[in-house]
Amino acid sequence: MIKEFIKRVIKFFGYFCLIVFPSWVLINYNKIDLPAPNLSNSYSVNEKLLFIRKNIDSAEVLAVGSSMTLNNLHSQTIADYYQTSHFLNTAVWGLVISSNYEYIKILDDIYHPKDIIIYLNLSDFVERDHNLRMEQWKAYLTKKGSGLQYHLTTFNFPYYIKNSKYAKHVRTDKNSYEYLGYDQFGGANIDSAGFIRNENR
Amino acid sequence: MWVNCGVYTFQTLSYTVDLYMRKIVASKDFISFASFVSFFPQLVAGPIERASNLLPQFHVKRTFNYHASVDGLRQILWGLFKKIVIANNCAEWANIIFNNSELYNGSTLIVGAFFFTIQIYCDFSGYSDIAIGAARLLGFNLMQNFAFPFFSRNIVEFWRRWHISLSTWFRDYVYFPLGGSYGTKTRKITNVFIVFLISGLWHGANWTFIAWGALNALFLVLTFKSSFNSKTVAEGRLFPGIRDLINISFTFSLTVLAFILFRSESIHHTYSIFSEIFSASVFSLPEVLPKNIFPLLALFAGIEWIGRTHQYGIEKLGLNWNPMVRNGFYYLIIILIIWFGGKEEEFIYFQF
Repeated sequence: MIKEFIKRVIKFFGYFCLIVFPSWVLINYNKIDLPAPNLSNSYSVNEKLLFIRKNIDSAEVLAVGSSMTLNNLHSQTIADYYQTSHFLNTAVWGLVISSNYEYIKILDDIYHPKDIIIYLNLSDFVERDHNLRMEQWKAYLTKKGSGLQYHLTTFNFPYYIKNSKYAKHVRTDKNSYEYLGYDQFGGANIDSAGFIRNENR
Repeated sequence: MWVNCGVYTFQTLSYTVDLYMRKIVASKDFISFASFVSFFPQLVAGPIERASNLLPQFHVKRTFNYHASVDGLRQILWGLFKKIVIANNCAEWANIIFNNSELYNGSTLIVGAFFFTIQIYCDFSGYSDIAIGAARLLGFNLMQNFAFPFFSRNIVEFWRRWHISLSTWFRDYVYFPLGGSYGTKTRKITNVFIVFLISGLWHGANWTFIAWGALNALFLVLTFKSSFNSKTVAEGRLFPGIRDLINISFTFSLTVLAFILFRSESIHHTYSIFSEIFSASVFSLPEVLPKNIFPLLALFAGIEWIGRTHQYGIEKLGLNWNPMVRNGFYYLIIILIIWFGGKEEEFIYFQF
């Protein structure tokens, strides 16, 4: 009896994991709020790549850096200063200068920007071990293949479990240091109203 | 996971009192007694079990029961749905409204109170379902802790259906020893107030909990003469009659008002909320109305209504359906849990 029970439970969840859930995701692919594809080991990078792919076709001015650039540059002011609507804030958390250099090369190849704003502080020069896996970025940003294809080729179940709620949090929680609800240029200014400052930062 | 002192204390107290009253015999098996006291599924937030029900189950040899195990899994699934989908989503809005109550008008505060009432029910009864289901998987039967209290037609019935294990504990170990319903009317009213004030105090050393207990006692005393309603509403029928519907709505409204006290941070906070609710601003449109939750609430309420005569919402739902359709229904619940799960929130009753 217990063997039968275990067999049925495995069968039930097996169907769910292999057929029901993937089918549901495929059917609702355009409606559901999936985490960004797992293109690097940094969720902030993945989210930014998703934003660029979805929203940016051309960029005349790039802003490069880490969280300082992401959270503290006011996009509209920069766009007004350069008198362009093709400004792109490419910044992601904790991206050190050496990684940024590789990242800029990819963006430069794609967009050929006229100006690049580099906004850095000392900590951005510290060498950190990033496994950014840049080999697919260019193809992804130039929209080679469907978005779903990248979800499938980089599929990692723990990544989706870990980030399904996290993606919602970073996209909507304006009062968090991790906020990634980008404006139209890719900047993410944290909302000071109701924000709880972390003294350690 | 940490031990809930409330459950532990009530359970061991009931054992001691029952022993003293010679309702049970002393357990001579330390392992069984220790297992009864620290039985993990219900140790964190109940149901508060009686020695007379749970202890003998440790003494008998348990054999695997296929149907009980399936039923246990089903109840766990329903508990998870209640907690993750309904309670956590309602919590998000209840927190926004209660934490910024000074910014909102009366109707919005009522929306907040409504969401908190649904949250606390689904949070706590969801936990109970998970605990009961987990125990059933292990071959133990725990008592039902919530019997669809929001379908009650008066406050007396509500308290027979809400947190049953605690209500009956207070009835048996406080209310009855005080004299219960016997004696003068004043005595009876005093007994009700004593029980509810202690119950309020058990929830926390805050005047809001004591006031919550007092308000519930007042509601109960005012509805003493209400019919006992031993039967579930509209039994054997699909829809309730107009009279039942009015009574259910009125009782639900009273519980929503009472839970404002439960959620408030202080008496002053409660006062400011009630002042706004009982002002002209209650007639203006709510400033916060998260429409996306209502389809989920409607689905939940519908399933609870259909299953109101059973132990939990989906106990018998779909048992005579085609297995593929039935499994599809369970898959749908799992998908809703994965996809519409609200922000992570700790179980409210873990703190008591």
